[in-house]
Amino acid sequence: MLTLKNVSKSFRTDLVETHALRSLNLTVDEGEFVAVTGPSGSGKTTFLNIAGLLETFSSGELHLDNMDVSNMSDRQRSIIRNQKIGFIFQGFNLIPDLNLYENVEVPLRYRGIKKAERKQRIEHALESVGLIGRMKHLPSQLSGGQQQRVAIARALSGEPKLLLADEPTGNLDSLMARQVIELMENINHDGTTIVMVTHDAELANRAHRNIHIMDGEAVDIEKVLPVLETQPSADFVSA
Amino acid sequence: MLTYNIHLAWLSIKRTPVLSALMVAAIAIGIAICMTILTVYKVMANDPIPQKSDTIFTQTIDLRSANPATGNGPDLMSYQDAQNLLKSDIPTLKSVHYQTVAIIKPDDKDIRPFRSRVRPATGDFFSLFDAPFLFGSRWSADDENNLQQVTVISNALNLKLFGGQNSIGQQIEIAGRFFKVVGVLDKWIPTPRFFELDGGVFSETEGAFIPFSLVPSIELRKSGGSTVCHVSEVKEGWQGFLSDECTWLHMWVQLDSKEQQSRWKEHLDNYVEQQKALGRFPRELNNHIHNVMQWLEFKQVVSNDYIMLLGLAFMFLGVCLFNTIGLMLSQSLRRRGEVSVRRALGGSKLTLFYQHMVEASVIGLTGGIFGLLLAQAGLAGVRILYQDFEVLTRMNGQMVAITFGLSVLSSLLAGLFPTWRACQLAPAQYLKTQ
Repeated sequence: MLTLKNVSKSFRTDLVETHALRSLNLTVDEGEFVAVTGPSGSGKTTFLNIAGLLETFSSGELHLDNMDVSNMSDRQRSIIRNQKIGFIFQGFNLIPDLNLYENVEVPLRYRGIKKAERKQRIEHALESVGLIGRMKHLPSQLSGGQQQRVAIARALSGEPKLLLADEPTGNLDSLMARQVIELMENINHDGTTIVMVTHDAELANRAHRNIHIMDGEAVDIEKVLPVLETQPSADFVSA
Repeated sequence: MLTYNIHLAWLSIKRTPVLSALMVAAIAIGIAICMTILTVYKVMANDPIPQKSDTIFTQTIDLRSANPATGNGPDLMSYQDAQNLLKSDIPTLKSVHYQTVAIIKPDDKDIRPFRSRVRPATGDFFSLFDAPFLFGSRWSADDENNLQQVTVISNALNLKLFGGQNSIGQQIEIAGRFFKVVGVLDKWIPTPRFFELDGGVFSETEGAFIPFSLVPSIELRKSGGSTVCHVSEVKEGWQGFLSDECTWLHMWVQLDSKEQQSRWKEHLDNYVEQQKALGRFPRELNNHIHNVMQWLEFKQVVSNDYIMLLGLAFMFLGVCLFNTIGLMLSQSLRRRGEVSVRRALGGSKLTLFYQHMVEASVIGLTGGIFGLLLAQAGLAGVRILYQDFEVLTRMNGQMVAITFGLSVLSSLLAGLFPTWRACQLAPAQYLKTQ
């Protein structure tokens, strides 16, 4: 589903060159639920932005759903983002002026879906997150957990193949976080590939596989995960 | 997508009401000033008779005495020259006329006598200038030759004297003589009044028209504009004035082809040469013919001061636009987060550019509505200050359309840079901080 080959990303200023990612190699198979962990500043979010075609990279190759998307134009990248990728952000990133229905509608509008189909998709997505009864509410009228569920509904409405989540429970209390992660597990169970960046060890443990990013390089720790579970290491699971 | 973007624009305006109101106000004020000045300018620079403005001409022949040697010749013609030139059969139509003021005394004793502008004119006047008739027609050549006291009256005078009824055959007293009404003009306000630039360029047409052939027998002095006598001593009396070297008459002719135009110019030159032989026209040949628009330009109906004023108004609109750009930039800074989210959800740069341009247009249209209201207030102010500008200060449908067009264009121009900047945001840049 997602393959990064020697992807590097560096930021250059007049004085310093900072390497956010160094020859990152990573593969995520279709249907996987992968957690990406690593300390702050290790490059997790940069990786997620590159995987989500929100950011370009300095060198390397990026393949998404068997397509080389490394050198696509802005318009092509927008279309891929719209059709194949769903996003869940830590800060929910709902548009405050739009009600829930309209928020979920945004990606469908960009896809040019007809009104009747939009309505059906939006209602289905809001129903699946348990908020169908509040679709005329504004985001500010919801709790944090509910807002994140709307963001998930927005991501789901486009029926993406890949769901990218950046600290999806970072702003939620434990009860709401549990509801959100259960929702994500259900989504994954229905066939959507999920890549989730998180600091939360418990959340990471619920993924099929963990990838640890350290100084812009990835370490696949699938094999050592059972060991970590018995002997937790701060280096691998905390920021 | 347009209705969706209009909906988003409305939401955005509601979210930042003060900022939006400031943008609307900046555009409205700039547009109002521009449109007030432009409305007056458009009427001033209007082609008053577009269907034949390039085929009707007036001419100048230089009757002045030898000194002073500089300056333009007279715009007007002497009675003697007018009578001579009227004999030519080169023009398709020709008319000599002037403006005077006379007392009009209605039959209806309830209406008190009043002063009205009257135009003695040769009969071709009406067809030459395409004056429309509501009732009747022009007087005939026989009427003119037989010195019949007939008149064509304006729609306004007909309304005043006869309540707008068909008044053909009725009699009215003009300057102490009874005239039979043979025609009533429909509403006719050529603007500018190109055939009479000396006496009220932008005013309405006169109340009554009478045959020019009656001029020798009715002493009706010219009113408005200048009468210049190019002699050291003027002759006594009205008949003396008519035979004197005094310029005071307008003469217009219709010349449909280039060939006719050159023949007319040649005729004027030959005429002046012939008159020189008789001891008149002491200067070198200085004859010119001007079509309508050339004449308006020659007479500087739109003065340079006014053109400068128009330039200043557009510069002021430019200043308002710069203010709007600043306000739009400030608004776009607030919306970086939303732009990033929309980009992440699949909005391309072009889609977002379109969305923001629609919003700029909505601001522009709203500014246009307020600008239009302010411009009407401005024009009302001009009317109060300058009562002669009544005709100039009417905004027609075309000007209303220009107002909205200019408003939207202005707001689109103002929105270009802020929108371009907003669309340059890397989508990931503000997602984390939203």
